[in-house]
Amino acid sequence: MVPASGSLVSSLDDASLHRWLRGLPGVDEAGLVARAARLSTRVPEGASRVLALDLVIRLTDLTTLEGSDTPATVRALCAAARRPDPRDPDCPTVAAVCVYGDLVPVAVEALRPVVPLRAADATDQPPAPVRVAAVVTAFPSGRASSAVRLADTRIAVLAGADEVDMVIDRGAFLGGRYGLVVEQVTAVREICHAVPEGRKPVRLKVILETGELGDPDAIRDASWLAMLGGADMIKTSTGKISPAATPEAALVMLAAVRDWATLTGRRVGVKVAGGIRTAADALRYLVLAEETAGTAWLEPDLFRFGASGLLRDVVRQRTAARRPAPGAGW
Amino acid sequence: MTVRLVPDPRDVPSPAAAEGLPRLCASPALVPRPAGLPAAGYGLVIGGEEVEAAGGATAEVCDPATGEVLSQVAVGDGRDVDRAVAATRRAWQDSWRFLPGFRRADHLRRLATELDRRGDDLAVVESLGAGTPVTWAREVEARLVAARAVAAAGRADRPTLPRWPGSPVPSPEDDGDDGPGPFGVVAVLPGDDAPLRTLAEAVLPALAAGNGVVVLPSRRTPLTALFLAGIARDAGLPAGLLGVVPAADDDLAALAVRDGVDLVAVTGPAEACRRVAGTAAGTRTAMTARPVVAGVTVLYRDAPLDDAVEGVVGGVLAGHALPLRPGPVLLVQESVADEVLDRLRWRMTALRVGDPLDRNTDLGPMTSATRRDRTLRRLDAAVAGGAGRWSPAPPPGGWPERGCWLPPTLVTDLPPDDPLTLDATGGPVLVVRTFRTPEECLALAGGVVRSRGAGAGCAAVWSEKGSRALWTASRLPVAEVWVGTGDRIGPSAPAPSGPGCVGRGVSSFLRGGCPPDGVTDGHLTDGDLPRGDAVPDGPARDAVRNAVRDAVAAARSATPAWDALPAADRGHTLHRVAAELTRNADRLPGISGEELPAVVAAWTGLSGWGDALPRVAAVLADPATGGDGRSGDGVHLRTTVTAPLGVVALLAPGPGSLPRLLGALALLLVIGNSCVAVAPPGTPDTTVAALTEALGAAGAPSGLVTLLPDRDGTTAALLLDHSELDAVVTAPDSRAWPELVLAACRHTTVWQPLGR
Repeated sequence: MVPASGSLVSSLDDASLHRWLRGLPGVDEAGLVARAARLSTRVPEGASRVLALDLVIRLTDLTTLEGSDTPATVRALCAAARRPDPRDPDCPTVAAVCVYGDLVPVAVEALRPVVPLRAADATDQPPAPVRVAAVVTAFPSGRASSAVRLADTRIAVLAGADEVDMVIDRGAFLGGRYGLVVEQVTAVREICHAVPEGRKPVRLKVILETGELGDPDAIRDASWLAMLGGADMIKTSTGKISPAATPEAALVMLAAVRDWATLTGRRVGVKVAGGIRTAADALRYLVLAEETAGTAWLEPDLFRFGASGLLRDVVRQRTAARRPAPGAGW
Repeated sequence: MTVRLVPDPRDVPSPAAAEGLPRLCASPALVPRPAGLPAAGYGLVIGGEEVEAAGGATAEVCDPATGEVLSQVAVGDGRDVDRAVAATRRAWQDSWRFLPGFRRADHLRRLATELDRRGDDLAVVESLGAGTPVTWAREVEARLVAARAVAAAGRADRPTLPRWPGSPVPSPEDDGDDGPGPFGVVAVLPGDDAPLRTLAEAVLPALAAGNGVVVLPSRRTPLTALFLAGIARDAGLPAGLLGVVPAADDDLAALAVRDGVDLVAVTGPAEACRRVAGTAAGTRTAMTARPVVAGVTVLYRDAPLDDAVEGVVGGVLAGHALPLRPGPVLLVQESVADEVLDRLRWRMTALRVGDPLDRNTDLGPMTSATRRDRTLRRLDAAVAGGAGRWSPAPPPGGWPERGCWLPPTLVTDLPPDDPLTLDATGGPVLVVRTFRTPEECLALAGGVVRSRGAGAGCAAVWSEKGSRALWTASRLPVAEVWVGTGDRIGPSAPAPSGPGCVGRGVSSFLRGGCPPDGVTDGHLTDGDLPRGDAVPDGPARDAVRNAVRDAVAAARSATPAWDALPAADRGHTLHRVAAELTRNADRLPGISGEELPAVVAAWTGLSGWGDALPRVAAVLADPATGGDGRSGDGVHLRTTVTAPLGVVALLAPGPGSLPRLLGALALLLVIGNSCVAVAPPGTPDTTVAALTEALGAAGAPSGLVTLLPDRDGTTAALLLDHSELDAVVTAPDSRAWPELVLAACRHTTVWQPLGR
């Protein structure tokens, strides 16, 4: 539980939470669609485009969440995460790799920092460490008993995950059992913080699965409940159902984290996941984030892309953007 | 009634500047200017050719963003307009006039294709000439124009639509051979704000209706019109059908109203429309006007705040909704005022103000330095008078030294009658006022709207509660209300939307397609009206004035209850009046034995009309194409709320016109208005008394109708001097009743988007 929550809601029962949510300003879908469309015409160009594409790489959670994943595929993924562009040593690393809980040890092993054999091999600026994120709480459906969900989380944390992506119980949310939703987030958060001395608390991302929530007001409600429960980041989707991330859903969540920061002073991040395949898609989300929450959100703790296929296109576009354009003064 | 916060002690951190971070889209994203656009010089377009002005005059057209000279443009005078009108008339006579509708539609479709193909260039020209941000010009304005051309083509084939659903009266013209036809040569005055959209709104339907067009753009923003003429030529429109003569702003009225011009279509500030109306009065030139009137935005405490702020910022500050825009006054419920102001400031800080040719610009310069300076003077005066003023910090590097820049500005604590609140063309200025209850909101909004001339404005209403939004919408004295949307709409309701006909599409450009001219201020009259200041002072004048005042006050108090009656009950009262008239036939010497049956028939016949008049008619429509048809996600619910005007002054057209007066009276009453009627001179006092008695005996509420005798025109003159009237009507004959039905009601078009 975040410390401020006591002053936000009188108590954590369903009725109080319901009243609290009703007090938030509504979201009008027609206006939302118009806003998202308006912002999608904005594009970084020139030098800004190069910077923005680097930023996209630094904000990416490189993901593989298939039943057929093997240790080998995870190792390959980790290699790509460390060197997204093998031909360019200056290319930044991605933020994290995101895998199923059982593959966390493989990813941790593969991403262990390489200790240079000779001091002369050490570079001034070691690449930013790539973190390991695990999907937990009976991902993607979340349909399991509370004990199983928490055990799932605990195992991933003990295996060395730096971040966990949990799913909310959509049944409980849509049925109005808001207290249960908050409680589950809080319980997972406690596990994330119960790490041995010397290890940073595990970051908690809460997946709302916006495609199942129905309307923009529900996305806003779920965002606020997750933040009340102590989420470090709220995430659009599992990527397993369609529609996954949409600009409209992202806009609602970004407005929610902005308002939450105004209210409590605490900045919560947003992760958009699912269906983001091209650099153009990713840049559109960056613009949404900047225009809605502010430029401060454009850093790995506060904004992420969850994607498996995005990186290839971004690297290609980055290479093209860094090449001086024909006729551009050279 | 006060809002704190401005000037703001708390510094609103810029979304980017807060952490000193570079903005994501900091690098310029300039749209390349196509070679040769705009050309170094433009002549007048007359007879399909570019010619010099007769007087040889030229003007420099400047880029409002930089002050740089873009082009030298020929400026025409009376001789040039005469030449252009003659050439257009020839082209019209030779081909256009006699083309079957489907051939005209072919031409317009080709024009639409060409507009679509050259949309990018059109957007650049519009952006250069008028300072419209290029992304908006291309993604919205240029596409809208092409869509309008397609819609106009569709209408060319069937220019007269069936009257609106539930219409009680088949128009006599509809069955005859001499149905509504084109006027002939239409002079279009597009105004200098948003010239592309206003141009398209007038030129395309005028062509579709079968007219020839001469455009008289302001010499400061003529590029779009000149470029459009080029596109029309390339699309194969008959040479000469569309002429363009840029002219100086102060001559426009005199230039447009002249022999050979059959209709003037004007878009512009209310005073410009009035000037044209004054010039056109008594001439053979008809006129149709779309006054650019600023309305209000109403924001209730339950509004979706982010969407509302976006709507206000887009619609008011960025001027997306011109020529009708729901600003610059924002009425916000006091309990959320602080939060709304905070969000507004945040959003305004994020607005990118800069080069309109940059793809990422939200707000460009104003179109003219004169206007910018006028607004700046007014802002300074307002601040000196105690108002608060806030603008975000200038862009990195400050404002350009040249060009017509004005930062987006919030103004609070402004006195109600400040000129800033009345200026629809005052640039990106938003005046914020607070209210506490919905009634207070209506009173404030009504005050704002009425002070600019009732009936023609527009408003936006933000509330999550549909019932409250509709309650507000139906009570605001405006022509268009947008509920839960502020800036997406190209405002052009083809439904009757009160005065200001240009927005009504094709029917505005057909003779008999619209209520008669002269309706700009809720007046429906033919000929000159008497004026009260011509009446000599004296006891006689005082007596008449008192009688008039009492009559208007009584009518005002009788209106709400009468309007609230079921239509059938109002009809029943009409029936009883008819019966009383028949019974008292011998006491009505002012009406001859032959005339009385017609009067009685009118009262009996009209008794059913109150029921037939639709108070609310709703359809799903797409505002982008003016409501014709649907195109996917643009679908809105368009509700037309029809309400009586209120207190109507009814004048007799001349001696012996008492039967006509009584017929019109019955019509006005059954719709739900109350009336102060002036009997024609020469009507015996006994007749007036007997009629009043008949109305009373039939059970008409007291005060609903006052029939005033008038010996020498004094009564009519003093009645018209009264400021509390909602409308003035000269009784038409029964053939014009359909128009009277439309004119004697306020038609408010409410647009509501659909969303989950």
